[in-house]
Amino acid sequence: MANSTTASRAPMAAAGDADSFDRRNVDWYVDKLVQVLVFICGISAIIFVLGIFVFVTKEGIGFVFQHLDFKEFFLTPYWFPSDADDPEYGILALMAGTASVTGLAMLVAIPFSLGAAIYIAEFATGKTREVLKVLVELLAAIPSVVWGFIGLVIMNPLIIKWFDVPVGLCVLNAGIILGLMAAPIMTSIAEDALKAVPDRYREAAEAMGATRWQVTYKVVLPAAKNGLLGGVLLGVGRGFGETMAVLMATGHAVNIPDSIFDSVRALTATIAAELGETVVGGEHYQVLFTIGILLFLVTFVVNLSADLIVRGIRKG
Amino acid sequence: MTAAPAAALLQPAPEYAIDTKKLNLWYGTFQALYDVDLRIRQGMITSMIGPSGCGKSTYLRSVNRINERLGYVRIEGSIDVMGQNIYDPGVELIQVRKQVGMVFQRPNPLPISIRDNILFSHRLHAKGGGDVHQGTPDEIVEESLRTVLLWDKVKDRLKRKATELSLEEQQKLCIARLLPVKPKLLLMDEPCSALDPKGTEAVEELLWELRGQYTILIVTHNMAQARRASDECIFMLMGKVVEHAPTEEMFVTPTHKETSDYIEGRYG
Repeated sequence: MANSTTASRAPMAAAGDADSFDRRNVDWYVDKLVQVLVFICGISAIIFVLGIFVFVTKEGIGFVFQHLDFKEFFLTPYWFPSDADDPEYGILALMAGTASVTGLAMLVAIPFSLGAAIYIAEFATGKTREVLKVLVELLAAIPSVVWGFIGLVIMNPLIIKWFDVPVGLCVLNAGIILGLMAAPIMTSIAEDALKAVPDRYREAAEAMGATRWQVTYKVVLPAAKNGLLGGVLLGVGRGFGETMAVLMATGHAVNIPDSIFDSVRALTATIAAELGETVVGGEHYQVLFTIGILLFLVTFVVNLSADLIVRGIRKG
Repeated sequence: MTAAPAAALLQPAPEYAIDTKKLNLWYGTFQALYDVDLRIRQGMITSMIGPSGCGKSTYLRSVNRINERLGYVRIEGSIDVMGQNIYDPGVELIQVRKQVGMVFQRPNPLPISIRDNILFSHRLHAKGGGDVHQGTPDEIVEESLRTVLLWDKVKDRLKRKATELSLEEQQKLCIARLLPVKPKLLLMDEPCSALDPKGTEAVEELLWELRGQYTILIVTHNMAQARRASDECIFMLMGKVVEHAPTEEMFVTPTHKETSDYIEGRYG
């Protein structure tokens, strides 16, 4: 730009590089360099995700093709991977563990996060709203091992005391912990969804004499339902993939739960706990990676659909 | 200020739908209205004109107290609607807004079906035992849409989303949805500014249809519209009422220099 202006002002300038139209200065090279760098950063995310997927698949796919008995794998609850004579790889109990904990977590997280989001977006004003938003984001940043620790040393004795059960590391414990963990991110997304509802709808409803709650319930929530669903799905994805807190709070027992006071074991926790003990490339090692493939696919599908749903509402 | 209109022969007993006394309004520390005294005649169309920022919308928005959504608004003075001060501490906002319907600059039908839009307000107020239309939902929908001359166009797609309608149809719907709760007063904040000339004409015709049954107060940027579509006209400037007179008088023989300058387009 600067070049062309100079050139146009002095078209008859003395010969030489200084005024020619094709002169490139340092800014031009910096610009090109930055473009290349940010491009690399931009696509690196995709490369890493693909790379991880390829690695997990490579490690686990051998088992899928050679030994995997789909019926045994998905439909039996017998997980005895280190049995020397006849190892059994049934993940039904592990799936039940993950599903029960995630399900309970959603029961805890959905009302909490929806209520919090409605309060922050529709009712709170000024300072209160700002402070709450910051606090919610802080909560989302608490490391999962801290949550696991809370499950282990606070929730565990409380559950034993209140419900008079022998062990407090169970579906209930992990579900509550996981629900509290997922709530902040769900709150954040739900609040975004509520904020995306144009204010003129609220104004219109209020001008007709609707109360704040009527505006929220009859106008804002229906208009934001896609975004809210997206937030819930991201919470499900979070719960599904969470490892450390679940490992610490479930009791880690292979078991199809009958009640919320039963100990269970999650798919993720199984990988975390057992991978270190396996022979690299061995059957047990491979089967853990097969579980990894499963987890990857499920979280991928859940997150992708959440993302598509949320994007849908932004566009529409 | 409030010149008594001599030509108001259409209403036998001059009665005021709105009686405003010494209204002062601040947005934070900025004063938007100064000692506004206005009496709006019942059953007539009164238009408000003035340059941007003169306070006409602010005044309109304080007649159903929708201004208070902003939270940093402070008001002194009183506005009597049908003889009752709506700024009385005991007044319920919800009842004020039932009596005083509002149409906004940009058509804002709710993102629900046409039918549900019409019934929205009715559903809010029917429970409270207020004076609302007593018909069945179907009757209410049909009658309201007929009143705004929209029934024939939309009767086959009542379940469709109201936001799919054209802007003109949306604006008519926004008027129609106020009627089932029998408001006394309709406030319109530049209701035609988002419409093309044809839509504007249609809405203006509708205003004449509604005139008499409802008192209508309309803010407009369009002086020609004020001239054609209102009985009385109010000219505001810098938060003050400069002139309030029958529309014909105001446009033919304005009594203030500011009014004539504005009408002739010397500023604004």
